[in-house]
Amino acid sequence: MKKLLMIGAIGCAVVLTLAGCGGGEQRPSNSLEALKADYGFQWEDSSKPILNEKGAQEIGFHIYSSKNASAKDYNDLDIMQTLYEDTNVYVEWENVSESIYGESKTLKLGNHKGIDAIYHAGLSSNEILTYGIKRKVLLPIDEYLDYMPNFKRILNDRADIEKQVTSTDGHIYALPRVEEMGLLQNPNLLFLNKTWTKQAIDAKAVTGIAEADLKDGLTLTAEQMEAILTYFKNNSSSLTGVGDNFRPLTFVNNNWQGNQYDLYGMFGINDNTDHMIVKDGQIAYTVLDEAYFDAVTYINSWVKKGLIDQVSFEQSQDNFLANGKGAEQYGAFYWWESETVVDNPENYICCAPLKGPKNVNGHDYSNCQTVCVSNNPEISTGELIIFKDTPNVEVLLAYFDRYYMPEISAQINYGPIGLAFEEERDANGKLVAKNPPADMTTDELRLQNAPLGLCYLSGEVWNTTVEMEPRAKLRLDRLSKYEANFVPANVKPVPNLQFTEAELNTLTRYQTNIGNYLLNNLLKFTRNGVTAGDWESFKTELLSTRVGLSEVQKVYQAAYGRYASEN
Amino acid sequence: MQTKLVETQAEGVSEGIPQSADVAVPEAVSGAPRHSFQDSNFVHNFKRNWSYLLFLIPAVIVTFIFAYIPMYGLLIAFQDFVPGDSIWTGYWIGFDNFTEFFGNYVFWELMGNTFLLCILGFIIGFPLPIIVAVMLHTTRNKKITKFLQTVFNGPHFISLVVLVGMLYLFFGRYGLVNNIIESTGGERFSFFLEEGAFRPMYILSSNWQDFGWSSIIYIAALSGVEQSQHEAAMIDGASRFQRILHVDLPAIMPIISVMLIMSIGGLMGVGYEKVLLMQTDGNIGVSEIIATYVYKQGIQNGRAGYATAVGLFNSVINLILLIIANTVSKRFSENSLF
Repeated sequence: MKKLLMIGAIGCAVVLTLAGCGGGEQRPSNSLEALKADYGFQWEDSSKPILNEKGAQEIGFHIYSSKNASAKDYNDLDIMQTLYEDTNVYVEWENVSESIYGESKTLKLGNHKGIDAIYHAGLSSNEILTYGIKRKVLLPIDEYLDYMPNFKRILNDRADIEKQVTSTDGHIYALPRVEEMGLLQNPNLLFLNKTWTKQAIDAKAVTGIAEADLKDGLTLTAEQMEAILTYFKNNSSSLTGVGDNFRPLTFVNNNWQGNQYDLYGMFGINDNTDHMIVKDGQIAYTVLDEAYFDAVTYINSWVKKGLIDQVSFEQSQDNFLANGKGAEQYGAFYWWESETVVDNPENYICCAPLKGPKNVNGHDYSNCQTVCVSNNPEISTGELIIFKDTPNVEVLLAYFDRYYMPEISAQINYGPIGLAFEEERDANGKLVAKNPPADMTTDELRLQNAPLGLCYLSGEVWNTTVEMEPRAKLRLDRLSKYEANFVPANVKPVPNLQFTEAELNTLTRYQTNIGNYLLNNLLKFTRNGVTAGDWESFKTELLSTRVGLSEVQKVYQAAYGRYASEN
Repeated sequence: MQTKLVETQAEGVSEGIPQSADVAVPEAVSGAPRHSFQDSNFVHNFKRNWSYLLFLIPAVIVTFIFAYIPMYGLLIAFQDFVPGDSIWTGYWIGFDNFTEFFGNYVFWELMGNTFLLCILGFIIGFPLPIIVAVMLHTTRNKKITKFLQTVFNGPHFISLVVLVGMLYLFFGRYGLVNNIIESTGGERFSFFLEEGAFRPMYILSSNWQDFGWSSIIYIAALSGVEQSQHEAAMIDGASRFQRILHVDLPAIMPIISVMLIMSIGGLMGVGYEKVLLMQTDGNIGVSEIIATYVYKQGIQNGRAGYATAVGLFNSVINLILLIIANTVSKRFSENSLF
């Protein structure tokens, strides 16, 4: 009998433990009148607090957010303290690492007990459809625009932003991040080792260029580049001393920047990681371009000759950066700047895009000279979402609206005044970047002290409120000289598009497959070469209903058509 | 026939135990079979053995809670499910998830990749521990046996991530193996980019890691072989190899067949972790298997319903394989799981 009792007790304990996971507090939601009367809620004047002292004590929000590994806890960030002092809105941050967030996102969207909003939400249009339009878990923010004077002004001024954040049902379910510096469209720059190239010229390994030409903006033809790289390759031991990590030309395969797609520019193709661009107002797939086969065979010939080391297809971004440090190992490389890659950036010149080869499979590309046009958006939609059942949501929206004020945006994106920016404004009244402490780089300082995320830094803000940091200025300068100039007028990146449910179903069905199919086959062809027959069957298969590129192209075309017609 | 035999044996065993010895009498006396539930064999046995059955309760509870209750989750295979939806009143879509998967062009590729990876791993990985166990068992010097056994078990304790990290270090384009290849005049070879290198690397590293550990069960079985049988065989003039063939192997055959059935049952159930760690854009054509596909669709793309449907399909294949293996084994060797 005693045993039975014991078993019963254990059974009860199990049931109780299972039932124990539950409960939670309910916070009261106040009417607008109550908020105004009791807590001094105001939103019109962005220079005054949103709530009074009582509101700071009694109203609070819990926000879930991923954060960069090197960033401080968001509760400890200076800018968050400043925002609290300015607004009296208390926000408690719950940080998780970026890698964990990727997997916890769907769970948190499904069961958001105790969470009012997700910062750095990174919702795709598919997720917005699922959780906003279908499940109705997300707050339609457009119904509360009156509480967001700054954001409302942005939407009024910028129809393109409004179009990109508005879902097909006419609601806005997520707040965007806008950082328009013009840095993202062309993600690569070609850097060439000056000393080594000089040796190649001295050894008469390359014709048509003189030592005096070795400065930024050097234009090389494919043949000259090949000659230089061949010289590097054949003399690696005398050039570096250590042969093992030597790379004539290197990049990071299919990376969002520093990738190989500028090479396809030699053939007049504006390729990118999606292999999709807008050409003459139509969605076009670069792989379907006539010249692509020639491009692949030609680049493969460089791989075969060892001019492009195969490790470029294998290495991660970290390997690439680590290997560039110390003794010089890179003859030429693609990256967005040389400073992060090599220890002596002075020795690397920034080249103009390569000119195409004279004869590939009987075709002449010597007039082709263009670059990668990426679809990296400067406006990222889906940066912040708020759950529908959040109490006192007007207050929270008024609070996030402050993030769109120019000076706050700058601090959100770069770090607080006093640390990332000088306390004193310059003669034009603009914020000026401050030199980082001796033991830190600008990047480290920024990653540690800036949460990034919600901000609005448009061209206008750069002109009036914030002085661009020197590195960004240098890069902008280089980009406009050596990259943007070479993009034909009829080629544009694909903007953020909004899809209907049926369209999204087609995309979910095919997009992953297409991505894998392209990635896998193009890599194989680039490394091992491809015959014309194989190329044709690759294209046929790609367009077939099995892989489904033509279906996806139709969907993008329809969505882009809607986007373009509203302009 | 067989069941009766088992029962008599069971009774024979339990007779030695005092508290149940007195119960066996009434049925034997009455002679005629009774059909009421109360007097059935079940109740009869239960009354006699209930105190032993109590020991089963924790196992039954744990299995029920962690293996049977969660099965209701399979319902989401028939729904357009995202976490947070109610499973009972969800977005039912019937067999759409299954039709999508079967119609997907990756279907046969996934099946082929999974099957090949598993079957090749099985062909090499199943006999290896048996051979190792027999070899260790027949080694005369017991000190060497113990030493080798410890050495063989070592790799089992290397964590998966570390193991794959080691593979990248050794087989990377500028890793140890390639340095040796180049210094002996060969061409550097991108093991991680070549489709052909993925399966050998995966299978051999897995087997290297686990052959020692898996051999433990066979070593245990071998140590139960009667020494007198070996002596008798020696007197009959059997060589060492003949003794392995006719004494050792028959003795561990029941264990081998049970292990065989279990491995075949789990054949398609290869884990996704190691494959995912070793996956690159270059080898994705052979390294995309059902498990990694389920992970990508379910966790990364958030398509829980679809991923569950694919996983369920995989489990059904496993179940069918298990039943086939069990039936075959029952017919040919009279050893089986059920």
